[in-house]
Amino acid sequence: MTTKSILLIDDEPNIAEVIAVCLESFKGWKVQKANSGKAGLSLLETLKPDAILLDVMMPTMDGITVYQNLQKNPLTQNIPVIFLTAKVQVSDRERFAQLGVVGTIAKPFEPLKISDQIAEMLGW
Amino acid sequence: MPDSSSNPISSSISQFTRKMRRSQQQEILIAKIALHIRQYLSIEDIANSIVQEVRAFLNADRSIVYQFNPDMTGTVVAESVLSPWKPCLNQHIDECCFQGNLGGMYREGRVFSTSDVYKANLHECHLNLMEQFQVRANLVLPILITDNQTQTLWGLLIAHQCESPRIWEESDIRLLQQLSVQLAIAIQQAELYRNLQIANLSLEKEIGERKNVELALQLANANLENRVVERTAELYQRQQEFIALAENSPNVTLRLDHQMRYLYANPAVERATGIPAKEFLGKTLREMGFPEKNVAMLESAAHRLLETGQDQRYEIEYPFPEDQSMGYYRAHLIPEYASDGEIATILSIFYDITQNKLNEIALQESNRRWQYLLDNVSLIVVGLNCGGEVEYINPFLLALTGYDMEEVIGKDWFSQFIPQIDQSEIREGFSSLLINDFPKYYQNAIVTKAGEERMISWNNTILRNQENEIIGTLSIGEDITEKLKVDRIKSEFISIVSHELRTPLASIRGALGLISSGVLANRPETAQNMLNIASSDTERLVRLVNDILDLERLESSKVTLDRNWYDVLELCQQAIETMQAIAAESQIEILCNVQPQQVFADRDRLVQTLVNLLSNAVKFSPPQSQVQLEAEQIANEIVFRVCDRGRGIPADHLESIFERFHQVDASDSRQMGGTGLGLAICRSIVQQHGGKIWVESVLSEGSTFSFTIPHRIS
Repeated sequence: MTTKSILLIDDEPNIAEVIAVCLESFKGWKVQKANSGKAGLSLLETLKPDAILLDVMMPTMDGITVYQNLQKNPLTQNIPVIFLTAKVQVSDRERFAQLGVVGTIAKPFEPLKISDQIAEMLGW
Repeated sequence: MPDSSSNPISSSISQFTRKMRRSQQQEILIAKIALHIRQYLSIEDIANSIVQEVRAFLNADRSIVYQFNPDMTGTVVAESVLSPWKPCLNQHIDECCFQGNLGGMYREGRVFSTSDVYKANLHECHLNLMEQFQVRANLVLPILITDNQTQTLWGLLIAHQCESPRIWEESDIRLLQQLSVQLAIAIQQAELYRNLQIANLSLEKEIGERKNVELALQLANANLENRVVERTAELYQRQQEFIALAENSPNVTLRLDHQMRYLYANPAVERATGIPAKEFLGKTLREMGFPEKNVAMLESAAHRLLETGQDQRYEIEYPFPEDQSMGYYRAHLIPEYASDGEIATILSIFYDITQNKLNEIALQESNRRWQYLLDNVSLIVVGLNCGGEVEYINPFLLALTGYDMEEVIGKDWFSQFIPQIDQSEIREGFSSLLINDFPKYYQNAIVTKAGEERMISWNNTILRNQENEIIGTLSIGEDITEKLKVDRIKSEFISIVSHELRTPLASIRGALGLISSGVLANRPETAQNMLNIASSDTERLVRLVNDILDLERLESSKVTLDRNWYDVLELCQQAIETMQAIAAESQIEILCNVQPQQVFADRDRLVQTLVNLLSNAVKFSPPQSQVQLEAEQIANEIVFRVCDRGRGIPADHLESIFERFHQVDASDSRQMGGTGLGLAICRSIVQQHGGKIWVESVLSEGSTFSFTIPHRIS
């Protein structure tokens, strides 16, 4: 079984670090981090991750704009995307679901369960 | 006894004797007749009597009394006739001979005598008359009545011999002449008597009539007296009734003379004034010691009444005697006229209108309060008629929309105040309200005169008239534009706070979760890194919570500033010292250009503000650059300035950066270790001191944050 690779785009380095440790420790997935939407899109020009974890509230370019860019690009439009967000209101979740993302994980997340949640969303 | 016929003397004596006897008989007869006829007072009786006597004395066949009419026709008014001769009583005779000469010789008192009518050469008409009555010998004597030396032919006394001619003897003629005279006297007496009777009758009649008149007068007088008595009784009754009315009237009833003296006062006056009615009599209101205001009003009204003759009305106040609470009366002055048409007295009636007045005053007060409420309440009040036209609009709505009253009264509410896009829907809602009394509550925007939209929350009520008919609506509205804005800001703030709190919590929970799970047991470096992450984000969380609480306290005015006079330089140095280590670490030099001067401030809060501004300046300044702190007194305030050589702030952020969590770049708070609340806290502290804060900036060159602290809060 090949190791799954995940691109994690989040402007909060501490959160990115904790999630990366979680996913690597519990699932052995390879996590690449980008600290802005722009940096993430730049990485995707060469990187082909199996899934993308995308923070919604980010400065300059928010997660939704990043996702829309991904959908426009044939090379990236088929990569499943999971939103990471501190916005947890029902209206936000409905809005995200309509965009077509695989799922949403709320912050603060359960560190021992987040990998299972992601695996379930992605059908891994 | 010798034969007289053979002896001439004896014959003469005999003849004389016979004549004497006859004459005597005549005299006796005349006397008898005169006596007889004078017993009668009726002409008819006299005439009847005399014709009987004459016919018998003359031994004639007929004797009649014929009376002339004024036209000289005549009627047989009495007759004595022997059978078989034809009676002619009451026969009307139209004898032309009489008419032609108005009685001719008879008028002159002459006698007509004929022994045989056929030999008397009579006029034909006369002869016909004689034949009609079978007359052969005719003796006619006039009946002349003397009155005032004038003789009037009354009629004729006639003797007829019907069987054969007859020679009327001289004595017969004289007898008849005398009888005619007696007859004339008797007739005259009878006429006099009759006239007297007529006069008497007339007098009696007149007396009777007068008696009747007198009786009628007496009756009328009696009736009149009865009527007067009845009328007097009636008047008395009415007077008693009126007096009873006045005496028992609850209204104060008074009568005044021209000098304003009271002639009458009913008992109600005592209830109103506490003064017995009798004490008013003969006195004026002024003499009674009533308030001058009341006296003046009465006199003024009474004078107007006397001048114009018209009723006068006015209202007065007078305290009730029992509790001195104010009573209100409506006075009505009425002129009372004498029989000569002049005003004799003035009737004045005082109606107690206290209850009405109090109700009116209460109503006015109630109206005043409602009006005051409507005029001053910070709510919109608008009244529409059933056609949706504005009937009432309160000053608050006018102020809110910028219209004058005359610009909106009578105008269509919907086209004037409702945004075009909403007009149809709101108008339907209004119609529904009128029909179904629904919806009572709704929100919609209205447009001000300047075109600004304000969101209003309405509470609608249907207005009905006294007949319970719907006449329009009255709506009270609250301008919730600012509230909605605040709600939106609050919602956004909660969203941001939520994000800002959840972000460090996510790291802490994740890091500690990993460590506690033991998964990092064999990876001590990673575990240590996780602890560092948890520690730093805990610090971040603490700062954030502290700042949120601090700001909340400042903005809700729960913080009372402890203001005193401090030396500005000392405070500035204290702030610089606080920041010195961080500045040095960032290779930033903080310069202080402050002269010794005093500021009236809360020391800790002022230092906190300076530290915040210096901290921001240091964070955004490039290494090797300088941050400058200045303070100077301008007028009655100290102006502080913190200048940096940082990246500068875009013009569109110069105002908003003082809002909570409003940073030019959201990552600044994380990268610079701030909470996003520093400048909001600074603004609150400055505002609490009565000062203001602002920023001037040039991109890529730097920013200058300035704030003022006035010596006193104005």
